[in-house]
Amino acid sequence: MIETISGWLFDIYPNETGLSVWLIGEDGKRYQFQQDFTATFYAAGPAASLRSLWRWLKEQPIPVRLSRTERKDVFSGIITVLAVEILQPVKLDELFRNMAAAYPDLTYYDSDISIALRHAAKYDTFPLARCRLEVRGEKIVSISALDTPWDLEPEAAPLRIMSLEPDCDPARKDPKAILVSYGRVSYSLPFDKPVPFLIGLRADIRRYDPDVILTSWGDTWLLPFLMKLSQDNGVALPLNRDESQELVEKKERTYFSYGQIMYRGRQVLLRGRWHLDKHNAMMWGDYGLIGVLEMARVTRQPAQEAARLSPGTGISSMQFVTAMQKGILIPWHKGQSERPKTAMDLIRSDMGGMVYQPTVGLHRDVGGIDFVSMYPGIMVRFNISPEVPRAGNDLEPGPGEPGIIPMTLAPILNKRLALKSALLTLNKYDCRRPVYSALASAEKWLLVTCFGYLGYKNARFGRIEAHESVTAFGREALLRAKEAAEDMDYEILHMYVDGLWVQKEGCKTPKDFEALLAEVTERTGLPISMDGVYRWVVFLPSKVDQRVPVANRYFGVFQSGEIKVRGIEARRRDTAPFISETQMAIMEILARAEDADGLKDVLPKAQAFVQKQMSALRMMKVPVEKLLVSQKLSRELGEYSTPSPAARAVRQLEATGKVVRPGQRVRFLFTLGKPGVSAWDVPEQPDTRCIDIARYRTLLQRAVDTVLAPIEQSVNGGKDSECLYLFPIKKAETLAEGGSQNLGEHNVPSNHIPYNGMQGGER
Amino acid sequence: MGRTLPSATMVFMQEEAAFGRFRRALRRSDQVALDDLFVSARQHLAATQYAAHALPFEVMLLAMLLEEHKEVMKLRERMEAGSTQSAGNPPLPGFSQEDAPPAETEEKND
Amino acid sequence: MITSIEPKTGSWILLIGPRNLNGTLLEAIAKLGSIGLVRVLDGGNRFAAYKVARAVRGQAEILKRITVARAFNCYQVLSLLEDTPSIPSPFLVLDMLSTFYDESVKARERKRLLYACIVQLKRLVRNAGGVVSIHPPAVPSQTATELLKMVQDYTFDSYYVVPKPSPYEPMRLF
Repeated sequence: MIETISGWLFDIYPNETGLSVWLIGEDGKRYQFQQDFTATFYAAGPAASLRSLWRWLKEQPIPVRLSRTERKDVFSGIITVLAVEILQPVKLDELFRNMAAAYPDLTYYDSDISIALRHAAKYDTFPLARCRLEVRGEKIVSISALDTPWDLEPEAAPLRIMSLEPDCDPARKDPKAILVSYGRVSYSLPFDKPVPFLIGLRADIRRYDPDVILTSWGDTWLLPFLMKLSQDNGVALPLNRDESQELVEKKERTYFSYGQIMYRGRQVLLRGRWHLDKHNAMMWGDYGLIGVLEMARVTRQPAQEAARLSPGTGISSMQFVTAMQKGILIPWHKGQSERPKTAMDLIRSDMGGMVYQPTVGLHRDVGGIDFVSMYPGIMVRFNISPEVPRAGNDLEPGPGEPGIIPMTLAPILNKRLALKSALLTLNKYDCRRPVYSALASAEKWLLVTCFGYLGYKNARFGRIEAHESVTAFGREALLRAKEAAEDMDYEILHMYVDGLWVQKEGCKTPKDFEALLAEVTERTGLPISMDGVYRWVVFLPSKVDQRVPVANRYFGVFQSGEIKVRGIEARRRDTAPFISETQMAIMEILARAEDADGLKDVLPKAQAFVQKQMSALRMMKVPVEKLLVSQKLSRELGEYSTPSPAARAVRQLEATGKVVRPGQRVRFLFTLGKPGVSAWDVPEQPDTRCIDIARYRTLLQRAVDTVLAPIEQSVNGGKDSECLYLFPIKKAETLAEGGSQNLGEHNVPSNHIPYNGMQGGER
Repeated sequence: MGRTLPSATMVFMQEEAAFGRFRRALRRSDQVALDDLFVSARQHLAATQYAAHALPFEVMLLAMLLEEHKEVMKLRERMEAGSTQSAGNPPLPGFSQEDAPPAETEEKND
Repeated sequence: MITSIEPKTGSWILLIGPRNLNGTLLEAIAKLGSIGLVRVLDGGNRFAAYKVARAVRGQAEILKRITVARAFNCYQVLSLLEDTPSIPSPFLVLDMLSTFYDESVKARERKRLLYACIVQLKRLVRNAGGVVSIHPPAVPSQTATELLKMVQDYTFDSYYVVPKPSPYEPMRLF
């Protein structure tokens, strides 16, 4: 008897005989089905070796179906391969490992692709895809996907989310209770008495049967803690919905790879349910659950993995799905090497995007225009892909069918463009705005990484020549945009890889720039859009030498009132929150000015605010947490000749038994005397009287100066207040954090005034 | 994969460093002027890199010359504007007290 | 102290030393390029094109005789060697082991690949002279030492390059 059930695809994982497939039914029930599924990988090499491999495989205990077939290798074209179809997908890794050890010299394909991804490629599905299943009893007979990852407003699945939060940060002190929330229920469950605690939690999980268990520190502390408690007290916790399965635990790993220390933290994943750890989800801070679901949807990775992986791996997954659907082999190793080129050609081609020096100073009514996802756009528009031959360097599309890369990227790009246009038309208060914004940002993040993956050392479909073509096209596109702007009498204030800042008398609103945008698209074939018109924007010089402009270091206010900031303290991860917040607050005050002329009115308010913050700092009225500096440990402690502040803090942590691996961040306060830092995540609270207030004041002053000095100069100094070369040469300071920088070469007497200092834009 | 060659900024710094001994042996006031030349070259890093010249220093020299010439053009303009004005007028536009050049030159009117 | 590097057909010269040894290699490349075709296989992103360009005073004809191919993981190093024809033009493999220190590839696999690379080196030196440079790993490990030793064991002429003393001796009055 065949039944039809519709719902949302929820979880897929291999079991002894095939796959377990979980569905959230339209009827609200959660279903678990069984599906037969096979996984195939391929081997290529000399015919004699393949024959030997055939015999070897036949002798293995794991059942396989063997055949000889032809498939396309992206770099070598159509080749003959031995196809190995495994009837029990759960055994794939084991078989492959043994095979690769016995026959190391053969070339393998499709050998390390996850089951979930294979399933997604075969049925064109993805997490939370709307599906219709035909089932006979527990067995799935067929699956059809009813929507696609590209729909802007798919019907949302009714996910049941249970949140489990320890009552404090386990790195700081030992938690005593868990805050449990789901539906309208929210209460604290202490675990001083483990058995009642476990029984209570078990009852909650059984009653509510959540789809998602959302935690803080679930990977690193909470779930391991719960598992141990459960084991020690003999009370089973149904964390997995599929209680026949074990929890999937991944240990933490540090390893040395390509000159960098890589660190991957511990993970605990569930079966039949999702465990998402807010502190271990790549994008949680910015996009929350919506972002994670979108990543899972678009990359087709199971949600638990999508949450924890970098977007680069997401792009790889998408490429694999495209490859599998197109019948293209996925190489096991990234073995394709570069074709030799002459030293002359290397000099000509090995470049990145164009980075111009901005015209330092304050400018008004400036249009910020950007190519929309330039590199991916180039890859799609000009068909740049490792298997597509390139003729010359003109902006011409590569011949033939679209390659893997453009095929993979095109739908993400289109979705991003669709979201962006939708956002433009939506009312400011439309409740879809934040959702669309989150989605658009998720797509953008994915797209930003795909460029690196074109040439990335481990990208299966990477090829450095393609990487170089893309940057060459990017430079060409930027130059043509510059020429279009100059032909239309715009002044160019700054250019950075895929964006330009332009200014023209009389151009004050986005509409005024439309003709320019159209012309650029005409000349380049790429879409370009308006980031916004700045009421005013300040391009900053180098802190070390103020005659030297710095690219991508600016702050400004759009006509909408929105602030845009790049490259200054507030944007750096190691700046103490108090200082970032002060800097941003100053800018918000400045943003109240209607236009550049209004700055003189708001300036006193900003200055008064700064005084208040300084005074708060002096009197230590600032919460200690806001003074925390967070720096990465860049190497093993033993390798430092002079330990950085981070290294000194790590030493303190290690004295209390905590281990910090290179690549991890450590939080600390600057304190008086030696060693000058006090690690934060230690059992005793650092003494607030020991905080090096003077140092924080210096850091605060510096951050304040970054933002206020240009405004003050502009308002007070010189006749030409629209665009000034602003700052007189100061004696170079030594930088306090992370050791000193020797600036001896640039010491300049303080009475030296640059008379050739006008950088252009002088009226 | 990716860039093997150093970035434009790094190339600039390497070239600048290559003249470290020359600079050291100069008088202090001459060092200041030399630094200005390098600052000028620094304004054109993007073009220097795009030029893809085998010897980037040659392009840097051109950039220094470019900035010098721009300066000459500006000064020429000001002189021509100044000579059509009668004596005793206020300072020329764009010239505030702060960026008045050192006293040796003849810029300041009287 | 190496004053000149002259590869001769039949075997390769192995140079083991700190990273600043690279400068000498680049000079060697420049010199060989002024005589004829030179092939550089870059295993660790060491080919500083501008330095070579300066050494040959920017002469385009020389720069066109120097070919470079880069490998970004140990599989590519082997692939690079396999794709290099055995012709009578000198070749240099820069920083050959850099990618072999990467621990994300199993030790056994790395050794297998390295051995295959050595087989390729033997093929290439039948018709040309070669130079191979190796720098010790940034993070020492058992496997790294074994890999280094493997290359040494198959080489006839190894040279250890000692780090040059600092050119700025403190001034002494007596």
